[in-house]
Amino acid sequence: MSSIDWMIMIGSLAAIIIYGLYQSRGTGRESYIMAGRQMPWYTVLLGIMATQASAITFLSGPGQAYTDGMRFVQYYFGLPIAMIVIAAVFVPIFRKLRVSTAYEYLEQRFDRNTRLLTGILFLFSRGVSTGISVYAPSIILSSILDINIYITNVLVGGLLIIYTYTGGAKAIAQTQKIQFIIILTSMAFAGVLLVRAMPKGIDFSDALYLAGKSGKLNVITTNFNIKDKYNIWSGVIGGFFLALSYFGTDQSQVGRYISAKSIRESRLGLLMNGLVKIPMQFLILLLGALLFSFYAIQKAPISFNDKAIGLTAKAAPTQYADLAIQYNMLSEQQAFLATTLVGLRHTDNPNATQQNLHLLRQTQKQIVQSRDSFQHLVTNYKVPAEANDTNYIFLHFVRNYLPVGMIGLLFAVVFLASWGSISAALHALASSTLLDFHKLISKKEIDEKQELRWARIYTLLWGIFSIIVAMFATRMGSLIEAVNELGSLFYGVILGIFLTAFFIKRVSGKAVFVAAIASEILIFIIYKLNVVGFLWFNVIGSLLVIVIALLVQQQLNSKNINRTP
Amino acid sequence: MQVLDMETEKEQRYWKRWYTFLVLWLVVLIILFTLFTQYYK
Repeated sequence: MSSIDWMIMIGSLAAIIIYGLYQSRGTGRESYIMAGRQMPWYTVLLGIMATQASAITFLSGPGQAYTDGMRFVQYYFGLPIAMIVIAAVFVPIFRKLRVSTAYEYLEQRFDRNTRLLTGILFLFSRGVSTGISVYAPSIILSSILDINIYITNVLVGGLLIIYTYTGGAKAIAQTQKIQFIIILTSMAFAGVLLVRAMPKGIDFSDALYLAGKSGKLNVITTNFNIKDKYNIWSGVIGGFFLALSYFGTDQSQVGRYISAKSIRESRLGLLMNGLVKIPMQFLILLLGALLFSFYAIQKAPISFNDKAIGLTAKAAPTQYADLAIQYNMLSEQQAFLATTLVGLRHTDNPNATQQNLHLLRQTQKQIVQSRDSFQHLVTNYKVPAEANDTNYIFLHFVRNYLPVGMIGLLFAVVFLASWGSISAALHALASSTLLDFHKLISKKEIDEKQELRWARIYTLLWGIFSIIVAMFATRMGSLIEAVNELGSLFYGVILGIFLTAFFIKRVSGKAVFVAAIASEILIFIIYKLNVVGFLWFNVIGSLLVIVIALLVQQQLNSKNINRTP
Repeated sequence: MQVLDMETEKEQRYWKRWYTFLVLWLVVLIILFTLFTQYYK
């Protein structure tokens, strides 16, 4: 990276930290935990979006479209409907009761045990996924500084801890706003530069045509298959339950909109999120599809993880050399066929186009096989590098094809994105630990000053926990999938508890507590059996809690009737 | 909902319009994406 890139990257990161610290000066308990309940809707909106969109979104998103096509966008189809339900039902309840965490409501509706159990489920799932999120920017730092990923995990996590520890909710909300504007502008810039970097004779529409013919513009897939991860059915139904659970019950999101200055501002923030989220995600994935066209002609490396190539070439020289020769031939062939196909597009020769397309698709299949063989080689020879290169694809383009200055800015973007989401998550973990556990369990009354001190201590502890988890995240494949899969294991059950609380008045705390534990066990069994795509866990988990809670409640009622003389 | 009852009718109509608009927005997006997928197939 050039010195100009370094200056731009360090300059923008330092500016954000200083801005955050300036905004959070004179932080008290209410400001640290609830941002003073003063946020307007646009700060809420940018906060919600910045919390959800971590570095993973911008790193792994384009990579996901590159390898699997754009169908991942369907995963967000349930989100607008979920925003409506949250705005109409969840927000008025949380605001009216003036709760500081979502789980506080559960104690008022059910009992303390249910609040604690839900808090534990949240803390565990959010804690682990925050660790995975720390790992994403570490990859970049490790790649540009060429130092061990374990050291960069500590560096990234450490910076984050300082940032969240000092500023709290107010600093997070204020900086997220600036961060997200920089992120969106830079990504749009990267898109324009990608189109301009296309090989001579290939324009935007040609690139789309090529990506489409290579099966990468498969935005809508309608075939119903319960094991399939992304199709319109799992997207609308599973995605609705996941979004409802994530935005309605995950403290890192609830914390964003209950800190708004009124119900109206909370609702507007959420509804605007429903409006802009899908188009934004579509554009990020489109970047990946265009990258595919770009690399089809520019010849992609066998793996976008340079380190994996270098180490594998040393560990298994003969196998690697054979594979590389075969892959290079296929790459040349693909470049030729892709260029020819684009050329044929402007002529009236359907037979030749069909023939060319057939050959191109065959070659692309063989390329995928070669890339798979390389990944097996990395795994079989226990090469200390990540075999799956989904998270490295966009990064490879940024490093090798973008002009000086833009590289620094895009690397800064990845950091800003991760800070925005991870700081909100760390803050939520700390607030929930303090309010849902410490204050409930501790017998001593604590004043506001002590509360602030404890909130900071918990921020520090959760930060350290995240760094430890990041150390184990190296072999998880596509991080965007890993985080969502993990979330889905718990979110369905958490949502089930809240839905029961809101809509089924006759169910008591005891029944829902038993139902939640039984459902979580069943979800893990279903996960182990590998019979359904992960988005369905959210639906199944919620329904299981509701049904089991009703059954248990019935049993409890009949016991009570029998006891009554 | 008890809280919603406290809202004025005008406010309720305002939010209902928002909710309808968002559902229609989703439908339009799905239609556009379907056309996009078919066109570039």
